[in-house]
This record gives sequence, structure tokens and C-alpha cells, in this order.
Amino acid sequence: MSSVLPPSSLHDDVHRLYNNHHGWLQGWLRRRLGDRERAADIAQDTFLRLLVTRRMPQHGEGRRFLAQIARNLIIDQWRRQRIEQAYLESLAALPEPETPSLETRAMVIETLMQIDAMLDGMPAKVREAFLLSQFEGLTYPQIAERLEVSVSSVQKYMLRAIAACYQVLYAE
Amino acid sequence: MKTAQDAPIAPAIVEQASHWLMLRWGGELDDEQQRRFTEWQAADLEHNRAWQRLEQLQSTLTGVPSDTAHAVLREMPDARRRQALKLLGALLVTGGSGFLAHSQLPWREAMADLRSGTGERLQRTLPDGSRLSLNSGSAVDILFSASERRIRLLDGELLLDSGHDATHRPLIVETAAGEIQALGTRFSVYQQGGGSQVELFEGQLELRPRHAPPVRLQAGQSRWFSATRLGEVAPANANAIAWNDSRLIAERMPLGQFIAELSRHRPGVLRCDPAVASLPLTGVFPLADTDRVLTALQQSLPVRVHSLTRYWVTVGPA
Repeated sequence: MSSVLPPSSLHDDVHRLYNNHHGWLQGWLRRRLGDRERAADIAQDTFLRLLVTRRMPQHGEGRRFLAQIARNLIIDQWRRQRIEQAYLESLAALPEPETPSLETRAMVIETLMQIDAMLDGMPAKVREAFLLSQFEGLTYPQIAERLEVSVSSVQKYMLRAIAACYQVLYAE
Repeated sequence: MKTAQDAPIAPAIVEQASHWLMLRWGGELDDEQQRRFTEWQAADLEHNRAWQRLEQLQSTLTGVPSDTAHAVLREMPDARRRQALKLLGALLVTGGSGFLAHSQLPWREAMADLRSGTGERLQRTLPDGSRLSLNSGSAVDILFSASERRIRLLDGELLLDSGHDATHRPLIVETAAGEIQALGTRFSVYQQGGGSQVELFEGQLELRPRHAPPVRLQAGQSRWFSATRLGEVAPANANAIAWNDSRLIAERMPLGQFIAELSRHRPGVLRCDPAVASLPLTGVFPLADTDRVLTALQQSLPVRVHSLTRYWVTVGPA
């Protein structure tokens, strides 16, 4: 559905896509989001993403491709919002002096986004095993008992979890 | 430009490295394993590069205090993703169950200040600049006074984009279940299961059940409440208000559910034959012309629309 292009023709192509579809994309987003300003922002970000990733749709696929990018951007925004909210709630439980600085918070949120994307790529049991191992410190035999599977299954789950993590950090 | 450092690593090598990481996560390597691991690492520069990447992964995972990660990430990502899709309007979940079909209008609703008929959706700008939308079959009284702005939801569903009132009068939506006070917001309310379902998209709200203590609702949350009880807090569902721009959105929605939803927007009886009720349907449909939607169904699914009259329609197998 897409191909990577050298920078020179890239700008022309993005320009052409922009002229042909920017209005449509913005309208499509506005109808979906019911928010004119947010729609305009995401439409801009969508074209920015094209420039950054240097991936271009094939002929005739323009709108579908743009809509897909925009959709992913919205999901990301939404996930970030949820994660920020959950994180701030978890901070609220801390006594005042332990509250991390704004900078630390931003970094933690960024990392949480990454881990969340990793979790997203895992089937339910794999994710469960991964969380128990990495964030609850359970051993493989303990996880096996908790999930009612064999230790060798837990090992397979962990391999799949690592693959999902790798995919997020080093895809392409 | 991509550097050699960023170049892809052969999948087989990544797999070997992953195996070692998996073993390490399982506990300390024994002497024999440690010896083989060291050998493997030294055997090829690519092995070493793959291992470095996994160490990077390791430090990402430990970059967050584990109790924080636990608290934040514990919620199942599947559910989160689904919620994200809903927010995008890609799924329709509301269902028609919240709405009672009215064969005749009770007098209170017939006398209401603003009322939408079946299949009708209304939008009004109120004197304070708030924008009020009513879904099909809804009724409200609008009671603005010097001390407050009160909207009484008698039936159906409303969406409110609150305006900024120069005199700071509180904006209150009243239902049979209690009151909802807006604190600069966009939210929807509908009558469901003997209570009110509130979806909050912006700002803050205070829910005041008639016979229970008040609670706050934050942007992005939804909550059901009755006069005496509060439901669980759940993520707000933006798709629930697709009706506001006269569309119905389905993504792999069972046909039966779709027809039930569509029937809210159409006078008369619209039924779905159980034989085709589980067919999945995807698309965006205009609510303004339900006849057209029914015709379109015949083109995209193996179904036939049988119309006894315009007011008695059944969707069955082709």
C-alpha cells in the first residue's frame, strides 16, 4: 500500500497529496471528532507524519492511507491521555516530597507509552505472563502456577513478549 | 539517513538473543549456560548488536518504577484499544435499549419546551450560548432563571456544549435520577435502565443522585446513576453521539444490533430476522434517510428488505 521515496520527489508528492486531500481529510476528521480545531491539528500532523516517515501511498490509495495515519494519530493521542491520567492518579497517592519533577514525569509517560504499545502487540496470556514477570517480579514457576500452564509454556510466552517489545522498538 | 547501527538485524539472530534474554528473565544462568552465552556473544558482531538492543529494551522496562507501571498498565490494553476505537467513532455500542418506544406521548412530554419526534434530531442555541442537541424521541424543559440555568430531560437523550454564562449561573441538567451540574463542559445524558447515563467529553461534572452523595466526573469518563445508586466509572464513548451529526457508524456490528439502533430513528416497526441478525456490517450510514440505508443493506449483505408498509419493515435472508 505504500513505498519509501527519496526526499526530492517526496516533497512534490506530499504537496500533491496535500492539495488533493487536505480539505477532505479535515472534513472527515471534523465529522468524526466533532471538533474543528482538533481536526485541523490532526490533519496537519498527518501530513507531517508522511514527511517524517517518508512513506507514500500508491496511486488511488491516498485517502485510505491518510485516514489510516490520522486514525493512528488519534489513537495515540487518546492512549497518551489515558496513560497520563492514570499516571497522575497513581502520583496523587504519593506523599508530597516524593512527587517526581515535571521532566521526570514527561519521561515516565513517554516510556509508559512505549511499554503500552508493546503490550498492545501481545495476546492476552502472553501479556499477563509478561506483566507478572516484569512488574510483579514473579518467577516462571510462579507464573506457570498462576496461569495454570506449564513452565515451558511460560517460556514460550516470554519469547513472544520479547518479540512484541522488539517490534515496537526496532520495527523496520 | 540510516546508520549501520540502525540497520535491521537478521531475524534468526534476534531470535537467539531473545532466547538468552528469556532465560535471564527466568533467573540466574548456571555456569554452563553463562559460558555458552559468553561464547555466543563473542562469536559475531551482529550477536553483540542484537544483545545491545535487548539491553536497551531492558532499560526501557526498568525506566519506570514497577509499582507505577503496574498501576498504569494493569488495565487490559485490549479494552483500552477498543475504547480508543469507540472514541474514534469506529464502533457503535450504545444500543437502543435505553430508549422506550412510545406508542403515545405522555402529556408531560407533549407539553415540553423542546421535543424531537422519532427520526428527528434537533439542535438549538440557548440564550446563554450553550448548544443543545436532542436525539430522536427526546424531550426537555428549559428553565432559565436569574439564579440558574436548568434543563430538565424528560425523555430520550441530549448532548450539551455549555456556553460561558456572563453571570456565572450554574448549568444543571435534571433527570428522574437526580441532577448533573456542568462545570464548563460538553457532555451527553440519556435515560437508561431506570437511571441516567452520562458521557463527559470535556470539562467537569458533578453528578447528584437524588438520594445519594454527589460525585465528580472528569473529562473522558462516563457513568450511570439512578436516584439511589452510582454505576462504575467507564471511559466516555464519543461514538454514542454520532447521532449529533446525523450518522450511524458500524464496524463489524451484528446486523440485529444495527437494525435495533436504526429503528430508533424511524417511525413504525423495523425488525430483523434472527436468521441474519449476526451478519457483520461495516459502514457509515446517514440517519436522515433510513429508506436509503435499508436499500443499501441489500447491496452489501445477503439480505432482503420486506416492507409490508413503510411502517412495518422486516430485514430477512435474501
